[in-house]
Amino acid sequence: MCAEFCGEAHALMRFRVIAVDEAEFKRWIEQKTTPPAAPAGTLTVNGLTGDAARGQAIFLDARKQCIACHAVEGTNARGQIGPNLTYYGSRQTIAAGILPYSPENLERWMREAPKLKPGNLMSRVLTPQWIKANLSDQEIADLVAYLDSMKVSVTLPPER
Amino acid sequence: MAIAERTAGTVSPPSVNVRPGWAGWLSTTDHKRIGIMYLVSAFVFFLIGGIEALLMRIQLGTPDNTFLTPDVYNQMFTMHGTTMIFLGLMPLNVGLGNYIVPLMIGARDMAFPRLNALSIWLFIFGGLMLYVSFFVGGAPNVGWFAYAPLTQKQFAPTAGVDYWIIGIGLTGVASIAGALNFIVTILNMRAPGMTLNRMPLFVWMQLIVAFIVIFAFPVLTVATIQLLFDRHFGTRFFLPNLGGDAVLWQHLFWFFGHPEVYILILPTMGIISEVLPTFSRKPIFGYAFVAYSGVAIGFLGFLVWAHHMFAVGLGPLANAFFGAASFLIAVPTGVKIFNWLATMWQGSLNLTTSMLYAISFISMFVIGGISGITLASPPINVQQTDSYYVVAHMHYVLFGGAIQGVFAGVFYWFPKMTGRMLNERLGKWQFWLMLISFNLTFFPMHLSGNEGMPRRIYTYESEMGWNLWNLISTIGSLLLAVAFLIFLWNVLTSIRRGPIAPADPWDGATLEWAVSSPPPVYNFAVTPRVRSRRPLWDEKYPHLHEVNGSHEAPVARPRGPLHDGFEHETPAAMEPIHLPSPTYAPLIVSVGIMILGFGIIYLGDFGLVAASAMLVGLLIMAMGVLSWVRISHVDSPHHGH
Repeated sequence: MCAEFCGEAHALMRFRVIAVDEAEFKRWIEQKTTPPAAPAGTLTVNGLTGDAARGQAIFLDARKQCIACHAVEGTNARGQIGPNLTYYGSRQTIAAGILPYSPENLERWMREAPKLKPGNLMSRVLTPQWIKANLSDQEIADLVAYLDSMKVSVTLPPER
Repeated sequence: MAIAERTAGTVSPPSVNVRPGWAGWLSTTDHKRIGIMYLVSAFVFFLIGGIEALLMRIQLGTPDNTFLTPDVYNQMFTMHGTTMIFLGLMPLNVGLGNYIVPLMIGARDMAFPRLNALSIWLFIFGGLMLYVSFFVGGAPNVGWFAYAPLTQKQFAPTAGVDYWIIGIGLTGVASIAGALNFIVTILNMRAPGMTLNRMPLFVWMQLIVAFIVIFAFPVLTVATIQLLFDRHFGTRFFLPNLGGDAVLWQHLFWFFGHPEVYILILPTMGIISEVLPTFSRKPIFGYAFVAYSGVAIGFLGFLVWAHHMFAVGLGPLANAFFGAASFLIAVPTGVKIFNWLATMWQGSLNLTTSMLYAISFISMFVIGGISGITLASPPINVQQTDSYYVVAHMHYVLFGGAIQGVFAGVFYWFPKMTGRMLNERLGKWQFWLMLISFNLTFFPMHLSGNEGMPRRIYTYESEMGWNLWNLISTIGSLLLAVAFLIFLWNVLTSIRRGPIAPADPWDGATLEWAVSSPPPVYNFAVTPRVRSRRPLWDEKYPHLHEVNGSHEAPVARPRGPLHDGFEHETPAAMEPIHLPSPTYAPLIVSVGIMILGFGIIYLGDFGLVAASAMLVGLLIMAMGVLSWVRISHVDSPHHGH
């Protein structure tokens, strides 16, 4: 669990320690420190097929607000307020252990962040009204496809 | 003009210009009234801080509880810590010191009575500003330690942190001004014959604390102003991604924060160093050791701050140094504890409520001290930091120690301050209930902490195995609240119907017991002369003067008309008693500073309105300063008569 007080959801923070051998760890670090390749491919979530390349364009569109807070290495997204989303697709959990990672949960997270994590600052922008006015279901599917496409190739052992 | 002539032969009580009713309190410069204002306002804040603690305990009583939302819970623990430290314990000690120190050293008031009034008003307004935050978007919710970068505007967008900065700032100015006042008063205004090594130990500890305040508080003030600039004016002191340093905040904060612990505990060590000898009917054992170990603690207190930061990763050298320095503090503390035990040893113990609290202070403080020693070891600390074990440790020191010490002092000096005795029966009920429920509340936290329960979490899951300990803590805290209600009831009834207190109800040895209860406005009609560490025992038991350590035999003689029991040096006795006039100037200056503070909070967001508020505040402050200068001139001993 999280030891140092970190904000409203402090009681919910969970950390996982994953042990791998040194060579694999080095490969993992090397990959993590290299910016992700250009996004490609599609992903179907809840019946809608999102396109990763389109998703990146939406992500980097200032009107959609993502890059006001988030950063992705190798792009012009350099927000400092929210988490850095580089290689988001390789995460095992969403929001420090509140949800297990899956494209379905990621889609749910984008719509329901304030309900899922208390004190979540993203919910100040992503109100249901704002989402309705600014993000179509298709665009959300594209964003999910983009974030999910950024994976490191080193596979981590499953959680025990 | 408050000058009273003492005519030769008879002593006529000086007529003193005190305004009646509320005006008398708002305009007072009398250290005794200011002391009472400190005690009452600090106790009110203390009760509010207690209610915040109760709400947290109710939330944590059962797993997965939804009694408080996470945000409200975070506001509660931030305000609980801030309140108890800055608005509760510290001003309770300052209040006792304000009332008792001038009496103990045979002075008529503090050295700077108007500055003293400024301190109380700035403290009250600082406290009120902190609580205003609840009504304007939410109280601070970042912890009383306010670690960077959580305090930055984007992560803590409400004005709560700004109110915290300004509120702490005002009480900090009050503390620094008060500390200067104590230092000058104690160094310059002792009665003839009271050398430093004859000062009562309570005065010694207040003097040491005043020096700690002078060195520690400015660091906090600077750090919080840097934080204010980070939040509103684009600086990056504590922002690592922009070249600042979040760990710098921790260094600055704990450089203040650890000495602050001694600011809270040393005065109460002074209290029990008065209470234990009185009720053991023996002089304190090892006076010089008790006094100078206090100096050692005050000094070492500045060399241990990074033991709050062992988990930061400062490196083995720094950790070893700060761990060793922390262990070292156990030495002077242990010296004090053995001296207190030796004071009681073979004494004729009189187990009043005050004495029970003093004894309980020693035992509970030792438990807190032992857990403190374990925490001083970096490897153990890394396991236990930020767990409930630390919460248990800190409450054994600050509640089992400091609060119980304050109660020892309150039961000891209440008769002197009010002229009425507290009910001892209720006092003992309160004491035993408090001792039991205190242990019920805080002892299980050692266990839940060792089982891994982190601090500052608003809830926990049932499977974690902490349910029982938390339930016991919550039940204990509710019983603790009952003990405080008994005290409140005792005070409210005793102040009206309690037995009239004699001047010296406990057969005390120090000068405050030489004057009536409550003392006259001018304290001493004639400045007493001091020949030993126990001037009043000298007077009452002249045959014991050698035991008392007096070097000159006192002259037995009938008591004077005011029963102050001291021989009067005739030329000095002819001097008129000079007391400062009542004045509203400190109050006006404080109101101005508070309005200035509100302006500063909103300067970043509402520039023009806030700037005008700041201007109004400055104008009011200037008016207050002008009236202050005028009254100082009128009051000057060379003016008029």
